[in-house]
Amino acid sequence: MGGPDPGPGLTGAVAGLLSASIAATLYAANCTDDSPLFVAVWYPLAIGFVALVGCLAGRRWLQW
Amino acid sequence: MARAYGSSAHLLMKRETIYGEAATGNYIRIPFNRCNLGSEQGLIDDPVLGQGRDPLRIVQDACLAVLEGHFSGLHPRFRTDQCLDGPGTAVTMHALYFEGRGVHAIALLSKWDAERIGAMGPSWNCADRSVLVTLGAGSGCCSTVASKDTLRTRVRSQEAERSAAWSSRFVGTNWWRCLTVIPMLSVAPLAFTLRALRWGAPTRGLA
Repeated sequence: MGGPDPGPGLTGAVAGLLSASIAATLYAANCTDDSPLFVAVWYPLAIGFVALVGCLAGRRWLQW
Repeated sequence: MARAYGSSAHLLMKRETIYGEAATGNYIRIPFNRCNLGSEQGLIDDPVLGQGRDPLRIVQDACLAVLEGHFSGLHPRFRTDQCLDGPGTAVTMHALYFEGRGVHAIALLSKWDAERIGAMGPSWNCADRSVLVTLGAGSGCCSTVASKDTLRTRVRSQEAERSAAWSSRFVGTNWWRCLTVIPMLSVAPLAFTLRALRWGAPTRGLA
């Protein structure tokens, strides 16, 4: 049977998105680059990377 | 040397009839957006050789005065009926006048140039007739060194600065830190979240 709804990969990705959002909030308090262009480019890259890691981790550890 | 700032700043100019000699009489007030006046006098090594191992004293280079002015809509307002005949005002702005000698011709040239360069990009269209004027002054006497080529170079360099500003906004100064710190800070929340999700898992699979 599958893991927790709606699926281990998506659940892990959401967990990564949540974690990265918390981390980005903490980092933004210290980031000197507050240009909208900078935030629109690099923050989603970092957050997307963590979400991808969360997706892979979810498939690995949230499968039961 | 006192200078006027803000709304009290006036820029007075007058065409000189003889090159290199300060014009006298009523000055013409020029509308301008902003200007920056500065000067510097660097040091250069004495090029003379053959005086032993001890280096000769460095000498002072020629004094360079630079006036950067942003004019807008200069030509329609540049009329003689706006001459100021108040000697006090002229004396007050003597410094600007001294450094700005010859700006008149250059400003008109700049306007013409800016309109031509306006075809190069949207940021220099005819509606925004801001031009950049550069003056160089030799020590002792004020001599104009700005030319069309100089102006064009400055305008293009400003275009390059704008492009560089966009790229700096894009890349920033710590993009790599952004890409590394956010994932590093995410490790603990992600581990905790995954652990919390594992807590909800059945120990023997779903029924």
